[in-house]
Amino acid sequence: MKIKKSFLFFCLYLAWFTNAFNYKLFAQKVADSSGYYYNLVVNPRKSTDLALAFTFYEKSKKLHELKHDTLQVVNDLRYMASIQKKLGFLYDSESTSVEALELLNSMENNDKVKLSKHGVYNQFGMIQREYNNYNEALKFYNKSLEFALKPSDSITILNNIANIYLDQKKFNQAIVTLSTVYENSLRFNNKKQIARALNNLGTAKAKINAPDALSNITEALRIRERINDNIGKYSSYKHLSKYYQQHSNTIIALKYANKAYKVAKLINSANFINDALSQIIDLDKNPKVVEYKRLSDSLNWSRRIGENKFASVKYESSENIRKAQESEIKFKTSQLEKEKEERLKLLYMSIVGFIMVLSGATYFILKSKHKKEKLLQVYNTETRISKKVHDEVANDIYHLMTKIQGHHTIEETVLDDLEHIYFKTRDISKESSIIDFNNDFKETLEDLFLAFQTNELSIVTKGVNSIDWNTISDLKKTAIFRVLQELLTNMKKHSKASITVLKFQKNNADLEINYNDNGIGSNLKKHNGLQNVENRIVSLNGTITFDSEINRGFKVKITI
Amino acid sequence: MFKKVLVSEDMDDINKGIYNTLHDLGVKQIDQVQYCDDAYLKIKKAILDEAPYELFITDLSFKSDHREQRFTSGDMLLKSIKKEYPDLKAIVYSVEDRLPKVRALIQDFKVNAYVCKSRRGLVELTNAIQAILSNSIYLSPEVNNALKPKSNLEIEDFDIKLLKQLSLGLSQEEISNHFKENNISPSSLSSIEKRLNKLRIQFKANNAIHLVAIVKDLGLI
Repeated sequence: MKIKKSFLFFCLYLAWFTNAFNYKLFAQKVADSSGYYYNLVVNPRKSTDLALAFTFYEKSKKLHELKHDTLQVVNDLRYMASIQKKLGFLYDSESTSVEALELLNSMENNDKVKLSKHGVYNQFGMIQREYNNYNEALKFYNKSLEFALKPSDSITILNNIANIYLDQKKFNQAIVTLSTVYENSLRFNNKKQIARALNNLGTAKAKINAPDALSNITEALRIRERINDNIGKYSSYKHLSKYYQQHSNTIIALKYANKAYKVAKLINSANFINDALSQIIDLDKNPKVVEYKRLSDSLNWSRRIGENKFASVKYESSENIRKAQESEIKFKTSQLEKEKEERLKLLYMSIVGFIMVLSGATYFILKSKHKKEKLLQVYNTETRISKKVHDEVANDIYHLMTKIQGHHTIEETVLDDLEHIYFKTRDISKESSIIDFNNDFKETLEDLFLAFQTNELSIVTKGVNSIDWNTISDLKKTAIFRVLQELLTNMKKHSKASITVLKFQKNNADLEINYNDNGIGSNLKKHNGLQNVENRIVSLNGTITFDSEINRGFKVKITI
Repeated sequence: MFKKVLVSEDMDDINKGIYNTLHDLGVKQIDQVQYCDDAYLKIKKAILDEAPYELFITDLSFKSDHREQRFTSGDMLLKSIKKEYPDLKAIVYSVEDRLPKVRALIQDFKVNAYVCKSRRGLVELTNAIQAILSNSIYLSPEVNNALKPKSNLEIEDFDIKLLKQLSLGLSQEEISNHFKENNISPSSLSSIEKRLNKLRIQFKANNAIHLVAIVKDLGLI
């Protein structure tokens, strides 16, 4: 049992080696530093070699992940899986292979991907074989065959399949498969392959004591000696040793075993040397040695089982880690969704806020526009009525006055009253007469002041020239004109002032107008006229203050 | 006195008053029309007939009626007429008393007199005719300010500085020296005296002390 195990392991090792050798990627790797680690994987010399190689590929994998070189990541994973399997961590090896396969499945199925899949399925097959799940292993090997691009790829897999048949003691089936392999090998004229196929075929035939078994094995050895294939030679010597051991020819068996040991020394591989020594000891007749060997094998076996158990625990724990990671991912996803929701909430809120601000602004713009329109409307209505009063009422009154002037029967007082009404009408008309904004507003204002200027009344202005009236809106100009007109009319009617001073000055954006007269003043009871003045200024967000005492003149301060 | 006068006025009673006034003044031919277009045609025809009008008296506003007019107001008519016949004397007789309008008519359209329709309107019309006969311009007292220079209204920063120094008790000479020292011009004694006189008139002050009192009360200094 033990012998078969190590033999199979060796075959498998060869199969992997050949298989791996077929990949150009590997060939490339040999050239650089990874070549060193590649050798460590294939041919470990120290107990630490595999661990070192594993660390290297783990790092390499991370590096390739950063570069998003998925195919290289897959490659690294495959090395790692191989190392894990060699170290006996079958579950780890399996999950690493699963990882590689998942990555491959996510890629487009080109030749390189196919080749990698071919290799990964082969790895699965070998793992299943270690578990003694032969049927599973066969399934994987067949799957691997589907992805074989070259006949040489198929040969490796076919070899592995044959090994399964041998495990299952289905020797005939193994021989049929290996014959195919041999025939295929002949076609490619690859001596190394031909030799291996022949050797494997011979070994299988030996199981059923086929007559040409020995000739097949020796023929393979001859080819290998000719091409000086050490690994091949080792295999041949070992198989010959086993053949003769089977046929109870211990002396020849030992002779080949020693030859195998020498070649193993040449190869300088711990595995090979160990394998060779194991065979030599196997042939020893010393009962103590036999017992040692038996015990050692059985201990190894139980250790191995233990390892697998440990691996299984490890697998479960890693499964737990995986679950933990999954749940963490889920958690992160939900956190992300939460954040996303928060962001959306914020977005909606800011949209709502924006709409509110916008509608508020629109409201105020419309309101101010409406206000302006209203003021304009008021202005237009005022001027229209003013014109009507002037053209129709005042004219008609004057008409009446001239009509009765000639009639001596009508008393003079009637004419006085009529004249009074006439002036009143004209004042009303003037109060809201049209203001000409086409001309310089300064001139318009000066004309207004001039109209009130008499021999008895001096109007003095200060700063009318200093104001840039073009920067002031027509609405404001209208208000200023009307207010000053009203103030001057009031002054003329009631104040008995002889001097009126109007000061204009600009304070930042505001226009400040100060009215002062030296009249009799008033007790500041706002009559209609002053109320109108205030309304006009306030409607334009301006301020107006009145200041007066009896006999102390009249003061008004307007800011607009 | 004018021999041939055209009156354009759409109010019968006003027409009557004008007619009487002109008649009293000894005008021989007084023609009256109620539309501006008619006035224009009459003036043109008279010139073609080589018997032109010597004086044209017109209102400014006319009520519009069914007749479509080329000239809808006295201003429009005057603008054309005075351009074509600058020698024709023209008097505006209107209720309009806004200074810019009066100024424009006198200065731009070269109207010879502006009489405001008022109780004394016809008396003023007589005065206007007399003034035109003596080749001067006549304005009713209500609109007399129309031709006054506006600069008389405004006082300058210089005036304020002057008044300020005066209020501090400085004599005109001292003010002159102060202005010289501070590079304020004009600083000559004569210009200061001139300016103070102007201010005294403007503020109706009897003397310098009075002037300072007035401007202080009015918040100018």
